[in-house]
Amino acid sequence: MTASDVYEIIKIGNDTARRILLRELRKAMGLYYLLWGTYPVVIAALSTASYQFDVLSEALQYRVFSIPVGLMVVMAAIAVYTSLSFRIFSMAYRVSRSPISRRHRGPWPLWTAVYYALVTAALYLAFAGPGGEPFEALEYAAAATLAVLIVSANTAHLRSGLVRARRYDYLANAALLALLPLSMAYYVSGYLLSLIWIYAGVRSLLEVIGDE
Amino acid sequence: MNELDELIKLLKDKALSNGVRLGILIALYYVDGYVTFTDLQRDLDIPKSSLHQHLDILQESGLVEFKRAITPLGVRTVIRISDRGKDVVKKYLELVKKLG
Repeated sequence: MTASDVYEIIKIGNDTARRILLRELRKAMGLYYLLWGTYPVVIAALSTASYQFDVLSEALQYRVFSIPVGLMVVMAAIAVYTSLSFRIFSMAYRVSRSPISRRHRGPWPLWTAVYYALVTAALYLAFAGPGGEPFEALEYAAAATLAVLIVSANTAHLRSGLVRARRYDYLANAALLALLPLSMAYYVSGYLLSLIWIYAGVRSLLEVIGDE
Repeated sequence: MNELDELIKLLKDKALSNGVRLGILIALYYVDGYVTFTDLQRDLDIPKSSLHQHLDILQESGLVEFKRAITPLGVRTVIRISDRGKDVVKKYLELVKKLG
């Protein structure tokens, strides 16, 4: 076996691995969108059930070590969702740092700065001046920061250089940036975000199943 | 022995001397879970018989494991990389990284 044979095997090997991983990463993205798309529905179902059944309502208000059981249930749901997301992301992260990845980008691209500038301006306009509520401004800023962190993590799939960003990826991430902070004031924003993420999830899985 | 010689020695193994088999093994390493035979065939767009042949060779070398399992789309043959396979891919990726 000569050096040129080795390079040929490596080249075919990399191309083959990329073809398989392209679909597996897109499938993982689809499942991730669908997973978090169902989160508000799960919480809403729990909330509705607690209104309708007094026993459940009392149980959720019961405190264990001064923490309400309802809050513990929500935290447990977040923990389950996060651990499932971690499994999905670990593949994307490892691929993005592997020799078969085609490109690497910095973790904090320009959009982060633009987004923060817009959020700061919006917060200033909404809460600055007499009668403003600094605490509410903090809540919105925290939600905006969470949105930035999630969208940065989402780009891990795209930084692998294997998965191409589709219109529904932009839609899902833009919706998260706009609607997550807004959902602090208007719950309906959370449900709209949920619908958009379910849509992105279905489109991602259809891309894998179809012949695109 | 330099990196290139080590790589040549590694790729002389029957299971790894073919680019498609090497690629399947690398992909399974990164997925780190089960992939269905149907998905692999669709991804690679090769005949079933060729894919079977590649997977049989990888299994004979102890690099992959496969079994029948229940999936959301029905009972399917699923494949995953073995611990030995992971070690081989790790070694391969290290050598490729060093060679740049």
